[in-house]
Amino acid sequence: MQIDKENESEKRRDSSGIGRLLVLAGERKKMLILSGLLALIHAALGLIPYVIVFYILSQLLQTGTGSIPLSWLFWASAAITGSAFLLYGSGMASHVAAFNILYDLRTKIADKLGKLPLGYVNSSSSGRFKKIISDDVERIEQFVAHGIPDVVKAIFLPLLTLGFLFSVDWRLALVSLFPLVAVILASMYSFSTPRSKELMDKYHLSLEEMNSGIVEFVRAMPVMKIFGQTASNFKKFSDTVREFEHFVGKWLDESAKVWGILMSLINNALIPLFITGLILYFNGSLLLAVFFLFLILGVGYIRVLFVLSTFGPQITMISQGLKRIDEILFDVQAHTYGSDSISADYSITFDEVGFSYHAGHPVLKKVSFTAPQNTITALVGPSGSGKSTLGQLVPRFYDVSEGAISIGNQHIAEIDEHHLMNEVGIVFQDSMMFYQSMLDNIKMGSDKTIDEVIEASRVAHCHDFIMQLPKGYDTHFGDKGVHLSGGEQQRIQLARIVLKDPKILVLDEATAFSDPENEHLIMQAFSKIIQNKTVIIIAHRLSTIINADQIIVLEQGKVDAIGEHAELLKNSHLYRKMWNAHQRAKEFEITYE
Amino acid sequence: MIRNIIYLFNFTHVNIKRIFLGELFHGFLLALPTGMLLLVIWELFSDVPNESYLWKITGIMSLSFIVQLLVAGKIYVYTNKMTYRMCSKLRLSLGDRLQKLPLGYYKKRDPGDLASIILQDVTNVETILGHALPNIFGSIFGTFFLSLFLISTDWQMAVILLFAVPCAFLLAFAATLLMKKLSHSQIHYRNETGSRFIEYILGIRHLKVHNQTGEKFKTLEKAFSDLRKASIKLEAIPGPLILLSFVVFEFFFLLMVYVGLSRLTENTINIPVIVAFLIIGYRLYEPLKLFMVDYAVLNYMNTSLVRILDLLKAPLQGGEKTTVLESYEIEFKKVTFSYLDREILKEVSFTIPQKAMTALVGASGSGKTTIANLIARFWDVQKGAITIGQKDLNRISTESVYGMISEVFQDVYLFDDTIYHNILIGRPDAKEAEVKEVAEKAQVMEFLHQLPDGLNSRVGEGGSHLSGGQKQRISIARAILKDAPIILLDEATASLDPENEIYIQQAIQELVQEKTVVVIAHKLQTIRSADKIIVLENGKIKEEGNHDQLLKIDGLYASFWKTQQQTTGWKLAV
Repeated sequence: MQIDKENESEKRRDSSGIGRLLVLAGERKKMLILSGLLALIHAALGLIPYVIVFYILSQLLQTGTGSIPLSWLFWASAAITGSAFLLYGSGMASHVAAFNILYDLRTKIADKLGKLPLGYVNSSSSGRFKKIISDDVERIEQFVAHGIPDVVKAIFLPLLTLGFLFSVDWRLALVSLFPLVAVILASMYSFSTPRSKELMDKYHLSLEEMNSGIVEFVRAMPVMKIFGQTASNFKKFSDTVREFEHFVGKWLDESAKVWGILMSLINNALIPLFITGLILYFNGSLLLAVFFLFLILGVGYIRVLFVLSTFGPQITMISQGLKRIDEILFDVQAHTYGSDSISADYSITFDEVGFSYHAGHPVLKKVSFTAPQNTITALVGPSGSGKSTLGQLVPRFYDVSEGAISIGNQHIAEIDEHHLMNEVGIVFQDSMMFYQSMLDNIKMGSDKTIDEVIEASRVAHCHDFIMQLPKGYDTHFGDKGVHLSGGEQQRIQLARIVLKDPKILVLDEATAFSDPENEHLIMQAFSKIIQNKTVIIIAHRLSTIINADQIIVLEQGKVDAIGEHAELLKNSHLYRKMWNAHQRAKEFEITYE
Repeated sequence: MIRNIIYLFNFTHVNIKRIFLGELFHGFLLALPTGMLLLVIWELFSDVPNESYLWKITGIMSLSFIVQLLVAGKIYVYTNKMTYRMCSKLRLSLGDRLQKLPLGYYKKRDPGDLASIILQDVTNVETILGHALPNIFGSIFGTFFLSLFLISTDWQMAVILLFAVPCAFLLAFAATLLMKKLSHSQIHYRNETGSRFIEYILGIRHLKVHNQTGEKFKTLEKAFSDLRKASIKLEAIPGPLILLSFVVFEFFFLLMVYVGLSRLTENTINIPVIVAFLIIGYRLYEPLKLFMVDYAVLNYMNTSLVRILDLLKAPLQGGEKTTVLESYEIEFKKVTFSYLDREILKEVSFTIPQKAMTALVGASGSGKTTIANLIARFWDVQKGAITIGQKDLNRISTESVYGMISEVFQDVYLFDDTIYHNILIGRPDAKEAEVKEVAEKAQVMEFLHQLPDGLNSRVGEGGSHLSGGQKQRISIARAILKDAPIILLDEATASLDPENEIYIQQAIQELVQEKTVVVIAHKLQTIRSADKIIVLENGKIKEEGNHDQLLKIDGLYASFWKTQQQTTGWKLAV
């Protein structure tokens, strides 16, 4: 019922909720069918001891002797052992299936994120993505590994039991159905009313509110402590916590009624059976052994159903997580790329390029220029002028909103991503080291030889410090005692670029500031790697770029002026102002008056 | 585990006795139908079963059903409300604790991780304890009543049945030991997956340019598959033990049947007794099996509980309230400090004169930042002592230390509020005119004209609407408003925003006047006129003196100075 409704609203995907979970589970169908089958046989074998006990009972009561073949007991223990093994097999099958499904999901998410435009990845915190890939994915294990065998058991164990009971005495069997019906009715009533749904939603809302209150509290703590204002911060926090407690109290009051009824029904399920049994027994139409059998087996199966009752809220939790996963997998569109190869001309042309991160707030407006092959083009401008954004458009991290960018005379939107990335190198402001060996950190998946890697790291001035690490190039970044300064990490980044030797290079000059003590080493490496490339340099300190072939001055997303250093000093007011400020900043000394 | 739970109840002053009584009564109600059942079986075996007696019993059962209908919900509500109340108190105590922890704690641990203790771990305790407590009480009482009855009926048979209990628990215990070991490694791989994935997301631009996204990034792929392996192991290895602990019950039951039947042939037992054991035996085990499941769940909860208690018991910093000191001269006396097993400062001694500028110079990792953090009492020193105005820093409460110090570091935290309020935090009782004055001094006014509402513009979450340099100037305005006698300053903050460097420099110039200033210096030009320059290398003091003196020594400082002079001469050329 609920599934159908959601199906209609979610047309982009095949399904959601349980339906979607089943589709996921279907990816490991064979394993799961095996698991279900084993669970089924396990349930059937599990009944055998009861059957044997029943025959012992009737034997005892009818003959008054205990002449029961010992082999029965042997078979009973065999059945128990077998049933346990089957349960293990079933559990293992479903777990192996589940962990494989989780693995597949995780690789799919990572893969998809790699294909998406950067804007999407940057729009959320890394913590949010981590939560999805660790927690949301992990929860699916519950459904696949436990849900499936448990449901099989919960359905078939009562069915098998009831079948057996009906074959023994249909009248009492009918009565023993009674509590089952009552439990189903009670839980249906409690879980399907709009009121209960509303409460459930409110509960989650209240929990979320408290959660964000707590996160804010912890994040703000260091500043609040320093300025001695923990009290007001704490009050906000304690208010959300009390609010939650208050709400939960209300929620408990409502939900407890149903819980109490269910609990009492299950615990006293014997009563109707008991009354009917007594009447029939005194009528003389019921054997004592049969009566006893029903007293043992007649209501025991209900407990299994309890598993199902915790299933509902669990599925809601899992589905919410799955929704977030599917958002990544299905709702966001990856770039489409052409598959042409690149021409031999590596000049870059911006033709009336407009760009905005958020609609209505343009960062670049009608930017046009050409960076000829094998020359240096410097971008300068006050912070917020759009120069860093411009640099990010060249490797197509984002798609332009207007105009076009071409390499040679080919639009970059028509170049296959793989090709484009082979030709473009970027030196970012922030370096990034991965938890792998220094060698792999420089190679970045390429098939270059160790000699080539060493040569590149010599050029980037990292060979010396790498050799001082405990295992040289095999040292894992992030291992205990392995510490690289910001500047050293930057030089590794440069070595990557030297090794890759791209035709086009986008370079952020601020890179050099990450380790002021070693700035000059980075600067030296810079001058080597910019040879014979089409270079776009995002410049912050004007003194470094006075020799550039052309300088583009940006202001608030627009091109203010283009020219060489000397020309701009004459023609551009903004450039002159920046130059003067820069000259003064260089001389800065803190002085005590 | 039990100790932890009891500690929890005592810590939060929740009345465990009333919960106990309520659950005791409910446990009695839960066991009652089975007890009645026994009486019925007994009666049915008598030569002439007394019909009216049996109906009376049925009546009592129905009555207890009605009573249970009435009270079960209430007891459930009470127990759960109490656990929720307890957890509320726990959250508040944890929050209170977080306020009192050393600030360094926040540098060491990811704030998300700390938040998740109050969130996830307390929620775990909340839901599990609320559910498991009633079940466990029910099981204990149910088993207790039934065993009493069985023992009084035939103690030999009862002993056989009950002997299953220690066996099962021994097996379960062994399984938990095994699981603890395995889950350790599974958790390790899980964290590993998380860290590798965060790395993947943070570095995705870098990976993209090298065509290394998705499965091509082997480090991540390996983390995923390691986690899969560890997870499967965690299920596969203890699995048989856990199953065995359940099967044990069934075997002892069969053993009991066997003994019963063989004693029947010897005539040392009668049929009604055997029948009673046949019927009750299974019933005896049912709550025990439930108990074992709950026990496992409680074990899982215990890991959360341990994290909570660790935080509650984390050492705090002592010290008394101290507002004004006669002097603000800072002295390090043979200070040694290690962080995460790494010795960062080694027996360092020096003085920082008051109302003067002292600069700390050294390669990254030499200990400059650590010295600043120790002055602010983010950490307490492990050996030696630090004094401010001859008073031991450890004897001044952290609130008072923070009150004496303003720091301008690279990471600025701004609240999602207006610029005005973000500055006001420096001194909440400041007047509007004062805020405007410091905004002017810190060069905040310089960029206000670009913003829609001037000082009342909102800065966005974490200051996302502003550039790094603009955030820095707001933090300097805060510091000027606070007007603390000691200033700790990371000079590199200026180069965060090179276009605005000049403005930040002017703001710094305003801030440091008439104060005791400690500068962590990178560009030596900036601190050329410092009264004292301390040069550090590998956690030790290498040189001390002013600029001219140090150049004369021609040591480490002089070599730093020379390379930096060269760097500014660098020009781009093809």
